[in-house]
Order: sequence, then C-alpha cells, then structure tokens
Amino acid sequence: MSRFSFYDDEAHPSPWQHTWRAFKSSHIALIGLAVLLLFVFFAFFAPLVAPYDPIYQNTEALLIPPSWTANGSIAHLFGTDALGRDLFSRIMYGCRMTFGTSLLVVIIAMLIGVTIGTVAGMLSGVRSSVVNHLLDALMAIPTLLIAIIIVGILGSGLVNSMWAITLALIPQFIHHTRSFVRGEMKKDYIQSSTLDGASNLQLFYYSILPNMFETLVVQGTLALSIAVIDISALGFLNLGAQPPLPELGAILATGLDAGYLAPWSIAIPGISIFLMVLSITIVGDGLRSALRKRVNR
Amino acid sequence: MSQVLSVNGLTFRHSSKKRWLKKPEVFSLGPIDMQVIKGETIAIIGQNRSGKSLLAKMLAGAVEPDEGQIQLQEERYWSVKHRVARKKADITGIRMIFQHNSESINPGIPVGQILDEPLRLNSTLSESERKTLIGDTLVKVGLLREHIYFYRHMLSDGQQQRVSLAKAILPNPKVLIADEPFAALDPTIRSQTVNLILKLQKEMGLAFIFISHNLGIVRHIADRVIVMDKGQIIESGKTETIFRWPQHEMTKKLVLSYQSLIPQQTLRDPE
Repeated sequence: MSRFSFYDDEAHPSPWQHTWRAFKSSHIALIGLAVLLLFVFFAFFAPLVAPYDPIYQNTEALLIPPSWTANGSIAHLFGTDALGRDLFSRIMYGCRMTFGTSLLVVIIAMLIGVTIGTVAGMLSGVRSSVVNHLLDALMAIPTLLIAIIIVGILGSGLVNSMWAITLALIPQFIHHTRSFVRGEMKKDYIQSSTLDGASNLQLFYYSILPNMFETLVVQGTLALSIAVIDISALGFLNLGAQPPLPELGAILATGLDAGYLAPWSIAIPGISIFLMVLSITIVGDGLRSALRKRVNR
Repeated sequence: MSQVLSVNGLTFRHSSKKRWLKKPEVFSLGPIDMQVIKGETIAIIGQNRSGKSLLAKMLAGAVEPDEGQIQLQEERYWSVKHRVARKKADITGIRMIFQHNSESINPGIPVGQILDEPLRLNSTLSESERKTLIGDTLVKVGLLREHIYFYRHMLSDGQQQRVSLAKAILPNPKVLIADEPFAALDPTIRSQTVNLILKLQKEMGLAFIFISHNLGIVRHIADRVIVMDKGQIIESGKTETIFRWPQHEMTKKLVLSYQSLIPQQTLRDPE
C-alpha cells in the first residue's frame, strides 16, 4: 500500500450505518422502534424494574383502579387484579414471557426454515421439490388448530404451544428462502463466484446471504407478530401458558373474570398486546424500506 | 511453447432428453477446434443464437461440454462440474467477464469483498496482502483504492465494467474471456475500456478472447477472428483476411453490413 494515503482517514460507513441512516429518515419507524425497545427493555430487565412480585397476592389491595383514576394509588400504577396482584409488574413480566418466547420461536423457526429452504433451493429437480414441500401439510392447518392437536396429545403448557407455533412458522420460511435462493442462483454474479471455486456453502454465506437480509427481515417480523398473537391467543384459551404464569393472553383471560368491576384489567393487557404487534410490524416495515434504499438508491 | 489454450472437438448438445416437461429444443454446438497463442486477441463474431456465449461459457468452464476437451497449457482443463478435479490452475488460468447487465455484480456486498473472493479461495495471501493487491488492481483498472467500500448502486456502468475486469484479472490469468464487454458502454467509455484492456494485455501477456457485435472494435484490436453460425465455426483467420476476403456467405453479409456503415470519405488535414 502506498505510504501516504490521504483518503484512508475518511470514514466509510458500514452497511449497518447506511441502513440506520435510511431507517432514521422515517419518523413513524423511529417511534415504532422506541416502543419496541421499551418492550425489549421490559423483556430483559423485568425482574430488576418491576415494583412487585408478579404472583404475589396482596389481600389488602384487591381491585385497586389504575393510578390516573380518582380512587387509584401511585403504589399500583396500573391497579391490581381480583387477587391483589400488581398489574404493572404482571404486564412487565408478561412482555418478558410473550415477547421472549415469540422471539425464541421465530429464531428457531427461521434457522430451521432457512436451512431447509436453502438446501431445497440449491438442489434441483424432484429432490428440491420433496424438500420444499416437506412441511407443506402444516401450512394448510391454522396454527391454533395445530396447537390444539399438539396440546391434545402432549397436554397443555407453554412449551407445547411454542413447539406448535414453531412448526407452523417453518414452512413459510422454507418457501420464501427457496424461491429467493433459486432466483439468486441463476444470476451472473453467482456463476462468477462458482467459477472462482466457491462451494455451495461459501456461495450461500458470502454471496446470497447479504442479499437475503431484506427477505429475512420481512419474513421475520411477519412471523414475530404472528407468534405474539398466537402465543397470547393460546394463553387466553388456557391452552398455552397456565394462569399463574404472567403471560399477556393469560392475564387477559383472568381479567375477564372481574371484567365488569375492573375493566382496566382487560384493557391494559389488550392494549399492550396490540402495541407490541403494531410496533413489530412498523419496525419491520421501516427496516425493509431502509434495506431496500441501501441497495437500490 | 507459446500456445496457452487448445480446444479439441468441443461439442455441446441441447437435447430434448435433458428436460422432459419442456418442448424439445434442438441446438448443438461444435465440434469446435481452436488454438490460442499467448498474448493473442481473438474475436468471436456471428449472429444472435449462433452459440457465441455458450462457447465462451464452455471455455470459461461454466458449462460442461458433452464431448471434447480443453487443454490449458498442455493440461486438461476442468469445468466447475468437476469440483474435485478442478485445480487452482484452472480457476486462475481462464477468467471470464460476463455480459454486462444488472446481475453481473453482487448488489449486497461492497466491491472490496467481491474482489476478495477469487483471492480468498485461490491463494495463500494474508488478509492485508490481499487488500494491498486489490487496491493495486483497482488502480490498474483506473479506479481508486477507496472504491472497495462502494456498493454496486454507487458505481456507474463504466465503473461496474471496470470492477468486473478487476475481478477477472486479479489472480493473474493466462486467458481472459469476455462476453460482449463493450456492448453496454457509451463510445468514450468504450474506447477507454478497449485501451485499458489492450494495455493490461500488453503488461500481463494475456490471451484475450471476446465476443462482440461491434466489428469496428473487432477490426481494431483482434489478431484473429472466428465467425460462428448455427453452432459451427464457419470461418476463421487473420482479421484483415476475414475483412478483406470473406469466403463464407454469412461472413460476407456481416462484413458488408459493417462497411456500409462507414462513410466512404476521408478526412483531410486543413492546410
């Protein structure tokens, strides 16, 4: 290298910085990100910031309304439920449970789906087709039905419902990955890498994956919002997380018992599920357009 | 021995057997024989669908011929289909520049990473040595070292073509194959690229085989011309011979159509 390189000091933004710049330009996406970060914060630090134990039943304080009403107290920000549990702490732990498990489910489904999809995309002929349609039967049945079947066999519980949702999410990842990889494999730059002596694994890692982020982000956020809704729906139906566990759907279901006396115990978990799904979708959309802008500007 | 590449009886058949749900598409190429000497420039011309691109891809090893073989400096050249037999000498010996289009450069990774690939896979250089070499090559093709941070969408068509050229010449090949390297470029950039390739060829002793519809460039830079039609070589020989005394009907048509484009006048120096 030449000894005097005047231009080397100049900052060259990394791909992530490019993406962040494009992402920042959309205010809605930024607000969505802030809300999502709040949920992520709750998911990670709930035990540190929650004022009460989520399953501690304080018989002195039953059905206290939220703090902004006349009868409310600041000691319980979102009030308490019929058993005297602090709703704010329960929502925090609920974010941890619902959001955390959804994230886990999506990551597992993505890893498996992308692997199978890539294999299918790189194979050809009947083998590719077989691998591609391996789990298609699962797509025909709604997630909730699969979950009910699995719960019927294995018994209800959070882990079983997680398995059910993972299984239901995998086929979509397979299909999208496979069609993407197929389209990509035909392109000239892949052929040129093949001529360079790249093996299929190297082709995937170095040439195809950098172009796949956009698809993965779109699919991932879609799957994440589906997972959040499904996990809370199963919790609500009493098939997923069981009542003492602070899971948003389950909190909603227990709130239903005293719904007329304490409407806030339904409204607040409901709103948090809604906000969670909304922010995931908004951030996913913002990320997608940012990634697209980075490549096609 | 100055002969770098020799092709014997190269044949490709597009038989209907290969794909059973499609209409039988009958196209066969060859048998093709050709010899390439070190530092020589060969142009392949011919109509569309005459098998020029296929021949180029076969020479580069992207498509496996059905019969015949290619010898690179007395040794058998293996296509990508034979992963195990394909040696480093094969990969770095013959390099190809693909027809310029939106898919010839990977949009998702920066130029530096694109250029790193042939070196990473085929050399024992350390990362900093590779980076130096990439920078030098970029300068050689008329770009800047800083272009390693650029993505495809930040480069113009001419710059993209230069990146493709840089990627092809990085491992110091013996033979460079280009499929219509000048087609998508405007006249100034085109002549810059032509001059650049001629310069590199002189420096590196490359044999350069290219496909072109632009007979002006062919006449200007090619030592020998191969004329193809319907998958066959119908005529080949020294450029001037082909242009002055074309033998085959098709060659005559091509040459006449080219000459009719040139106005029959000479420019005089102002007194």
